[in-house]
Amino acid sequence: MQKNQTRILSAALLLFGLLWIFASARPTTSNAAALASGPEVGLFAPEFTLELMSGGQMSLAELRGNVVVINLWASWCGPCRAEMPAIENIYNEYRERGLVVLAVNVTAQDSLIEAQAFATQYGLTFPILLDTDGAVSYQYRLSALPTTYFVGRDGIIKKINIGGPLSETQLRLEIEALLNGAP
Amino acid sequence: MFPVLQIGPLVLQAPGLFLLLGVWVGLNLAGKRAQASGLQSSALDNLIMFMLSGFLIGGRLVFIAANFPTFGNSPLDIFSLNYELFDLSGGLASALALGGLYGQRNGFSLWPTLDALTPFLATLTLSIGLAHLASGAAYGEVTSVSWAIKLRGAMRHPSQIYETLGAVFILFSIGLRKPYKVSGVLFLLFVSASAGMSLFLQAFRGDVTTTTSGIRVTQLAAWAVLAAALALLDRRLHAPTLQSETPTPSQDQ
Repeated sequence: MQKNQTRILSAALLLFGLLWIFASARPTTSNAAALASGPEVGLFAPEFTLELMSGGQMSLAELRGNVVVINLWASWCGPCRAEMPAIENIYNEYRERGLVVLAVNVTAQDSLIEAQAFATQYGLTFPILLDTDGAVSYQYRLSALPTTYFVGRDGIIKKINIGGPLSETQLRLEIEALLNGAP
Repeated sequence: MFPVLQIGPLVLQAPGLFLLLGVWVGLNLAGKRAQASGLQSSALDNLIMFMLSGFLIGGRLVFIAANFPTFGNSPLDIFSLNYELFDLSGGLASALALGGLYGQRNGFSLWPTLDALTPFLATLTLSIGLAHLASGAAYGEVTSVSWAIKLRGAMRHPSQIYETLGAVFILFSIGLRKPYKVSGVLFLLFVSASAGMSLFLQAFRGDVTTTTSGIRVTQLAAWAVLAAALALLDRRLHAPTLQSETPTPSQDQ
């Protein structure tokens, strides 16, 4: 191909590229999807109300304004066991600054007795909720244990961590960012 | 989407597996093609391994440096296998620096080496597409087209499939070709095609950062890369002094 032909082709490609960039620009109207609820980053964390292991009930809705870590776990899950001490440490370190940890036991796939023994063994002080019928696991499209959702003060999921174990440093970095972020 | 493969208590990250597979296949392909670029396949393997090591170690070190006080509370996390504790740009910079240093010390010529690396890079690009497909990341824009998939609570463009198909096309049309007579042309064609493909396909992505006027930042970056690659390609193809360049380093015995 001649020198001029290749240059004309290159220029045409670049011009088409520029036109495509402008043609495919996103409308700048408000994003309706951001108002939706779903177990995905950028969407509101789906609401739920569950029984507490210690008795009573707790709803996600009543925690709006706090940074919430929702951790789905089971007593037989090795990575859950490995990361739980780090979550407990972080909870104790940040609870006074507005961190709430909701440890949702996937009771439908676990044994309540084993789960209670687990909580005692690790001296867990944060609320432990019981997903006895698996509804919350389904609602959050649980694909592996553990799965952790980091929810901002605005109720929007900021990050999802599938699998584990989470390290204390990662938890600290995520939570610091959420606590220091805009409400 | 299948982000993890759970085998009993063992949770394997499917995207990570695809990336590892991509590295392994890419290394093999690059090794086989190295000879055509005048390089020893073992020398190229070493270069890639140096760059991968630089990427992994450099990315972690830069992350630690940027978050040093936090690591002070849990210093053993420096050795954590958690891939979230990683700085991507730091890793890339380290890989390039280490690769450049290794190449310089071992007398690699730049353009033949980049040609030889092209099959590796093309395979890695494909594995990134597959990793996105597995994880559900790099998801598409909301759409009503008949082939839309349900993801993240809405019907969306299957952007990960577009990305994977684009990478397959580039791999077979450019990545697996033998190098051209003028060194560097194969690599620059690969970069141009990848940037062009990205520029086109980013329009269907839903997870994009935009300017205030709605322009997708990644498209602007892809356009800039495309412009640079085309300019370099023009220089390689039409500069008479470069036509006779032949690779000098590490010829096979």
